Amino acid sequence: MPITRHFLGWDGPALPRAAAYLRDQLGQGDDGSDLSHLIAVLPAQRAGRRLLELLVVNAQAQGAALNPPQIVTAGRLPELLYQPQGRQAGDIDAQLAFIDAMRNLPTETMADLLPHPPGPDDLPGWWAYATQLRRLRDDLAAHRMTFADVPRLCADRGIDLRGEQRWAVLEQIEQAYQDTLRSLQLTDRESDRIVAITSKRCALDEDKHIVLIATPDLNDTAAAMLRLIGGRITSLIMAPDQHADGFDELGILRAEYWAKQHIDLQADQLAFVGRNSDQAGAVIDAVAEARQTFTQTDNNLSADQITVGLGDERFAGPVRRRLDLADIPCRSAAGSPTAQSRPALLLRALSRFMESHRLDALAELLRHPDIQTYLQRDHDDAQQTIDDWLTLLDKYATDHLQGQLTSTWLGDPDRIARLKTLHNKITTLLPEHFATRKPLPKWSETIAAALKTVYADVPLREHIPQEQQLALALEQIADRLREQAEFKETNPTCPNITASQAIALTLRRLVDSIIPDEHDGPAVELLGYLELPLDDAPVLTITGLNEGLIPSSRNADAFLPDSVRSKLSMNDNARRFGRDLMLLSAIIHSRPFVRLIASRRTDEGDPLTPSRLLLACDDTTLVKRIQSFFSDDETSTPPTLPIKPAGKNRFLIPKPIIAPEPLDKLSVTAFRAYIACPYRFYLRYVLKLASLSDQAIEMDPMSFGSITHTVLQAFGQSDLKHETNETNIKSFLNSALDNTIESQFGEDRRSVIRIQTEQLRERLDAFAEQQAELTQDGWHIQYAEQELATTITVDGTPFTIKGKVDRIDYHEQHGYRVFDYKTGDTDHKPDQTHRTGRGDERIWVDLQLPLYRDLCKELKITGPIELGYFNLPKKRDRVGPSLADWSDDDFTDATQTRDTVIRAIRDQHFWPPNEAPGLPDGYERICADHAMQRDELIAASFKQGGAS
Amino acid sequence: MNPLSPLQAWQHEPPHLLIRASAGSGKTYRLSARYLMLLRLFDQPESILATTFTRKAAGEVLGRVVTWLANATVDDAAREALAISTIRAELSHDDCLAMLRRLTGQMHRLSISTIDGFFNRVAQSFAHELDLPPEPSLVDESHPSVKQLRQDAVEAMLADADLPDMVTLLRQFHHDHAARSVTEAIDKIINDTYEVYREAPQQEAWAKLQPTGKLDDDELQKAIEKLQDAAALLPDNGHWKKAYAANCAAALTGQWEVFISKGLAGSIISGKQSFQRHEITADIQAAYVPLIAHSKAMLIERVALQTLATHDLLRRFDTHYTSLRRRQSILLFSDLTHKLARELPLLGDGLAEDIYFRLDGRVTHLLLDEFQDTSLAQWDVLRPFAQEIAATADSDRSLLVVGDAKQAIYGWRGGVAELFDQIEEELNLPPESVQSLSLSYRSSGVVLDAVNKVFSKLGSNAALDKDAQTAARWQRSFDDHASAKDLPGHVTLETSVAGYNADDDDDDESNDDEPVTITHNVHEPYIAQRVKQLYERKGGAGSIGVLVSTNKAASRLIFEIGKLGLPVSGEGGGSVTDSPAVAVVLSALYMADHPGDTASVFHVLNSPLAEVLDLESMKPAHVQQIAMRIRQTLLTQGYAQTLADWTRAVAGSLDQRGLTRLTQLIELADKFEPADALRPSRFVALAESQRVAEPNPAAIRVMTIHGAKGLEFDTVVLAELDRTFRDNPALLIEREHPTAPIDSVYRNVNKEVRALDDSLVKASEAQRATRLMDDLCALYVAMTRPRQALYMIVKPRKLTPKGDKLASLGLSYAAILRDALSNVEETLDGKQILYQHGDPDWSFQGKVQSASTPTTDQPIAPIALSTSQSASRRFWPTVSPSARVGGVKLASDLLDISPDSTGAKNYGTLIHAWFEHVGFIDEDEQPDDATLRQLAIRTLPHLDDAWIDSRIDWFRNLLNNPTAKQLLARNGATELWRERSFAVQVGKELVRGCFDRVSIYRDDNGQIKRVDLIDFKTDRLGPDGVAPLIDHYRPQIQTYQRTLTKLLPVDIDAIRARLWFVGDDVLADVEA
Ligand code: SF4
Repeated sequence: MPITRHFLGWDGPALPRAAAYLRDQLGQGDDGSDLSHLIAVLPAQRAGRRLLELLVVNAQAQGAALNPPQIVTAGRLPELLYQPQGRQAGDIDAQLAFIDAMRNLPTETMADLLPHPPGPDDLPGWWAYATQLRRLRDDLAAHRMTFADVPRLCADRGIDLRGEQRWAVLEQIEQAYQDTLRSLQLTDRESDRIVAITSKRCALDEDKHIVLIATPDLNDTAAAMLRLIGGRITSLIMAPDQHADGFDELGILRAEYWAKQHIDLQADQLAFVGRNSDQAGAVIDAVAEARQTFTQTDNNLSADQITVGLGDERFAGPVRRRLDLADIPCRSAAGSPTAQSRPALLLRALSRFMESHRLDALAELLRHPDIQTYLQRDHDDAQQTIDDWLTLLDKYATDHLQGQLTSTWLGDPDRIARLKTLHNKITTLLPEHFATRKPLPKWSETIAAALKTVYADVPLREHIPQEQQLALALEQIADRLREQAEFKETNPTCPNITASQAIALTLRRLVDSIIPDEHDGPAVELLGYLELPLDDAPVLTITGLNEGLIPSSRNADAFLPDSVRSKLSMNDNARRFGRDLMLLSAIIHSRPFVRLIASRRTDEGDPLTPSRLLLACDDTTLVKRIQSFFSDDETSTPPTLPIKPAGKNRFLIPKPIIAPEPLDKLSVTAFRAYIACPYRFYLRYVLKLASLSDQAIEMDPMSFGSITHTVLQAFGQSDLKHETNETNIKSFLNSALDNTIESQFGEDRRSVIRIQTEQLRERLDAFAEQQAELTQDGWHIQYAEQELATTITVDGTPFTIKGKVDRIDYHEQHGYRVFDYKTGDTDHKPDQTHRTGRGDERIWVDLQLPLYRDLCKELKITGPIELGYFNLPKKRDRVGPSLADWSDDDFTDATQTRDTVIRAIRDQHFWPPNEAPGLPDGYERICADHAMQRDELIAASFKQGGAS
Repeated sequence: MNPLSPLQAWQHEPPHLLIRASAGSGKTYRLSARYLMLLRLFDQPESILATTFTRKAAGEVLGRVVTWLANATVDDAAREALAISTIRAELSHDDCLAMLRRLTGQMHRLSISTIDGFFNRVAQSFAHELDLPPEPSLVDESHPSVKQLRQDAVEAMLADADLPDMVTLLRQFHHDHAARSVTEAIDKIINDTYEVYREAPQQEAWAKLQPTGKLDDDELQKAIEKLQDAAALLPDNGHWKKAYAANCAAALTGQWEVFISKGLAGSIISGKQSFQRHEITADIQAAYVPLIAHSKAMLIERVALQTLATHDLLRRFDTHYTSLRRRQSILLFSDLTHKLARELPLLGDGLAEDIYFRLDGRVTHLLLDEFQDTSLAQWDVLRPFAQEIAATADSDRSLLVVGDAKQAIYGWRGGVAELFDQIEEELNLPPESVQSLSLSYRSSGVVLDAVNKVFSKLGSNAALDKDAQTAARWQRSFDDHASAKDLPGHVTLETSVAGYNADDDDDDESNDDEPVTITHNVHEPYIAQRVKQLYERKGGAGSIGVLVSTNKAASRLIFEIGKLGLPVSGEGGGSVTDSPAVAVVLSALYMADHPGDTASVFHVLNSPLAEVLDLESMKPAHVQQIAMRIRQTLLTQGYAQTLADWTRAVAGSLDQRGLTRLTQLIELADKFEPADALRPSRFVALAESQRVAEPNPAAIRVMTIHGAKGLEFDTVVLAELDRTFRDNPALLIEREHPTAPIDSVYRNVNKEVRALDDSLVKASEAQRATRLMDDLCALYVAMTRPRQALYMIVKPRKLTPKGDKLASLGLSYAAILRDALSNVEETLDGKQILYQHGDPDWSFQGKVQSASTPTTDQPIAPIALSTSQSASRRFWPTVSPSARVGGVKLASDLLDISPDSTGAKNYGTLIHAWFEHVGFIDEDEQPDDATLRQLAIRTLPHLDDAWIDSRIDWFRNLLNNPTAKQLLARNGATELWRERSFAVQVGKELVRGCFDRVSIYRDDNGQIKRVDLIDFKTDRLGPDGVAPLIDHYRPQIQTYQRTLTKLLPVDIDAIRARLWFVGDDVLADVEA
């Protein structure tokens, strides 16, 4: 039987016709339902699945029992057509052998190809290069060529390859690779295929018959094999026979023929939109329209009769969301990458943690929800202990700024105990000796064990899609691990790696794996362009008909630029164009409703051009299309999700609620906060809201200040406080500083902190000089870091003011000086920070120092009291006291301000929010600091608001 | 197409042409016209490389060319116009059509792009040579991940730095101050200096300072003694004594900076002959000279060391930064240029050929737009192309360079305007190849009058007296502008209102620790009011552009103008965070990451989102659970879908603006790296850092002058004119000429020390000039944006702190504009018109902007699709009977990869492959060992021979045992299925699978009597025997049975199904 072609036509979907043809023309048995002798070859897996469905339906409609054909994708076909001569290397064998071949080549030789090779231990680096080069190799093999063939053929055909050395290196790699495989008694699949063809050893089992179903793009290798077989082959072509010239005898398209054809497209089948995301809206419009049409013809349209073609996978998100809003279920054929599944993310986080042993890596790992479930699972060690572990870790990170985790935990013993518990639970997950290098197969079981521990009790029920997807991800990971476990340690290509590298490698090997998107019930399918021709949904919308997407093109290449490819008869731009044109023709003709969408710009506003396929039309249409595509004014508003908003914003600033008991005590520093913004005061002092992060990597002003205070407190409470020798003071401060820093940040602190410590030391040094001078002048520290509280009466009601006075100095002649240490970078004069305004209009915005006068009454201090800052700024010559010279009137004024604030607080007067402070305080979002038209929002919040 | 001889074509303009095109003079038009002409002439669009400054501009060129052609095919008048004035060559209808076909047919091969875009293409095809990461993610410097990367690099650098060295270096950068923040300080240093390092990484350039005259210890000792001896020579004068004493003290303590700046030494250095009216005698001078030389040397040596230390810091940073980027496969746009510029030349001869080969086409026509912004590195890459083209006298190659040295405002990003002047020489262009365009198709004559007034006398502007040379140089590139349009217009220079402004005392030492004073700005609110007046003016003001110098001022102005309720937007859009709804969503995400952040919890709790998230209280344990649930949803649904679900759920609480912003947030989520998915706070950071389009295209747009490049507005308000020009670069750079490579680099130091060394002075002056040129360009760009009206608002003048006279204006735009335009006596109160020109009641001639009607999508009504289960339903769930076993799966089973389980699994696979070839054991020939081995290798190629052989032996034994003999014999069966696959529809599912072995028994009529089904199992029996296994496999076997009834006319009771546990040789019946 020779090779037969059959034209399915394209006035209807190809697959149902193919299914009918198989039964009617090729089926065996009485009813034609025995197709077991057939090998049905399809371009992609999904079409195969659908073909089987159609065959089942046909058979059942006839009451027959289907004996299904063998269904394969075109890529798998060659292996059915020859007997390999030995063991074929599996994917991992081949990859590692190839890497080995590359690495073992002398560096000088490799330099012609890879002037910057990865380091010897950089397995991922080599892996990536090997993948690239093997892709080139596969590409050549699909055209029955090897690395060695290219320079030879080019020389024959007069093509200047520019850089024959590179090809020579590739050839050497190939040889080394083959040698390695041979020594392992393995063969290479691509080579096997070529050998099978050249030695004419292709054969088809006697009782078999091949049916090519719409494979206009079959590669050279497969085609050559089929030609060698020569018979028992039927090619079903999805075009009418008037296009017979467009295909060869195997049904493979002739690109030259198709490049000259026009796409037959009505104006209403085409939509141009502004930006990529707008395409989603056009999809919905098309669906709504299709539904209209179908209803009119008395057919109800169901979701699975609709397909959306994606010119770019990234369009899936917006399209899906719109469909979702229209209550239309959808399913993406591309599924989701296994590498982004929960267990894969878990492995990656584990690997990062093992590799770096950093606190931030731990923090990331702990945020994996499955880790949280794992941690909460065992109730034995007091659930309470780790209930708030994220917060615990955040606070730890903020307090101790630890980068690397060391064996010592810092700070509060209670907290340490809890952190240790937590850390131990995580450590039990890690493989033993994870940092040592071991042969790859050694790691598989321990990695699997970690996953087992985490997912031990996670239910994986069949009817719950999410759980099934998790199960599938685990299975795929387990498969990779198993393959790696079976890799032979004795194999010279076996890499010696750490656990985290083994994980990285496992995840790399998952890059092409996906987890199918399951959906119960009918759903709209989101498909890639190449899947569309054999899709049989009557309603089709294709997005992304833009140049570069459909058709794609290759416009620069390191090895084989397009024109070289053409001369080597490889797949080239022209062929891709011809193919896509043929496919699009078939697509458009074969279904009742088609809508093509192209966008004028990316979402970032960068201009796009229309697909050349859309311009394969007659002159008049061409001109019209060009005019309509390139003529829009681009000031379109960004599209929104098609939801009907209520029209009124209810995201407001929470209005303060009146507490049963107003505050009756306040620290001296809080007054400033109230004056700056009563609302922020409310958030901080009434609600006590805190902000938390784990991003700090150096001492912030707060912790810089508090370290300074600790050191100076130690000094102020030591015997040296009356010391007049600056050297002694310095050495005291130095060691106090070192102790404080060490207990706060540990021995292995970050370098940044070491440098900050030196900066602080510099300031303390200058402080020592000033201090010595003061003491020499007769000033003595009388109190240091003194906690004080005093109760005053305002409007007959008592109110407590509290505060910690940094230090009080006494001088026999001059009396007392109350100091507040200031450790900001710039030095301040007290009046500068306490009051604002010009001349006589100066008003109090801070009351800290004046209120110290109130507090000092508790110390029964008599005599004059001076107030001031003891600045320790970055400029050395500015270190020292800065005294205020407020008059009695000023103080009276301050007291009035104090009382006004107290009254306001008693009245719970916390509205409206003031303008935002210059520095972030964690309340920006609550206070809507960045909001447009904030004043209106504040007013609206007052009117409608009310905190719950 | 009617061929056109090159001679004909080039009769109107030379093939190599350089155009100096003033603002608004129609650059894009010229570029497009040239493109069209090349198309007409050579018909090879793929050989034209056109680079533009933005992707948008690239799109404009292409759009214009194709639209011209398309229109010309349907409109003869348009075609005529195109022929006569645009390309000045004959152009038939068919020509146009042919060109259009050609152009659109080659759409995939057109090179009209930004320089970056073109470089990216080149770089990708040289990925190995350039050491690009194998699968790079190309990101912009502003991306948060890059910030993190730099931080990590700094940390790594510090970790292996020597502590005292680092401290010293930092102090040097901070004028010996002990600033708290180290990371910030280092980040700033790197920001200020890294680009210089990248251009000149070799230490050589950083080691050029050679201090001379340094004394050794002995000499120094002697010199000091000599100075001390000079005491006797002093005149009897208090000042002298004091100054001398100060010098001596400084010399003794080695405070050389003090030494040279104080007293006599200072006077001697500056060449004065006398001090305090007493002559400085030769003897005294002689006593000073050695020490002066020494102190100079010491100070210069310090600079030299600082410079080297800076280089060292940068080198170490660069090492870490580069390796981190590599490890994470991050490629910055700037990397491309640098790598190309550095590595390509190393490839040696034939480079251009190599590039053409890999790009698959020769570039024979080059069109370079906005050339004044080209950087040296970019030009290094482009030059060979340009030179090759310019070198040939053939008329079939051409080069068009368009630019405007007056609009060179990207110097800070590496743009070198001088290249534009130089290219003329470099490419040997004859004079007729240089054209100037200064007729503006944009601005009104009134606006241009003001422009002319300011820029035509720049050289004599009093504000620029210290920089007269530079100003004169700028002025030379300026020709008086004329307007091609007859437009009314209005220009003013006016003062805002007096008062305190926050940025008045902005200095470098701005304090990051705590807000010092509560301040009230008056300037910006005033501007906002002025903008309001303009916006509400009778007759309209059209589009209003408010231009400032800094991003900070832009955001403050947006805020102020927005506060007045006017439709305002920023450059390249705003931030999603300006919506309170987005703020709540971000709080929720932040809370998911940091459940201890009670501020976020409170924020969410008091918002409509609380209900959606089931957040009920602030109790930590509860919040913790909610946080985990959010993180889980984010992982399983993805960020974008999760946010979309939330948005939908809170729709009832949104206004249109909130919806738009949330939609944009969702779009940002689509671009969020899945690698960061475990940390929602990273998404918060991303959302906060990205700029997105404004919800409504606003009539008022506030932006920096840089952002306004290439834009135009009907009305322009210049709002931040009072800043004095800053001239304090971290590094001083010396080049032989502006377009030469960096010759030397020095750390910048104060004026006094700079004055000690000529090269420092020279470098500093050159840099000041460069910087000033840029600033003047920015003013020019700003003033040439308006079509009709220009309002320049400066702050009123102030008194000095003493209050006795006017404070100096410094070198600022305000000063320049005042000098050029105003001759009015100024009041201190402000609100004064200093200059005006044109008609205050100018009539607006442009398009009236429609009041911003949000053109939002109509809400989607649910589209009711049929849910009926039609027979035509596609893609039924597929199940395989073997997946049916044992109910719930267990992770521990899925993950069991122990050798035992793998072995069992492999063996199971083998057994099935082998049994497929075992016919009726009592009749058919059984496969020999070779066949079995062959089958094994094909099925599981990775298994070794020994293992296979042992299994073969085992299998042989199995076949020989009594059960096999019995079970596998014909026993009267009429038909045998082996590994027969099947597919049937059962209920809503497609059941697919494979029967291991089925024997069919028919009666004489061919009717099926019974069917025997055998399923091979390799599991071993446990302690409880076979019963649990039967239970385990029952669902699978029952599916087989049901399937059989569908395939064969047989009753389920007539099917006998058995499991054969080959390991234990146990045969078990499974009842139907
Ligand atoms: S950007 Fe403006 S000045 Fe430049 S060519 Fe276009 S219209 Fe003319």
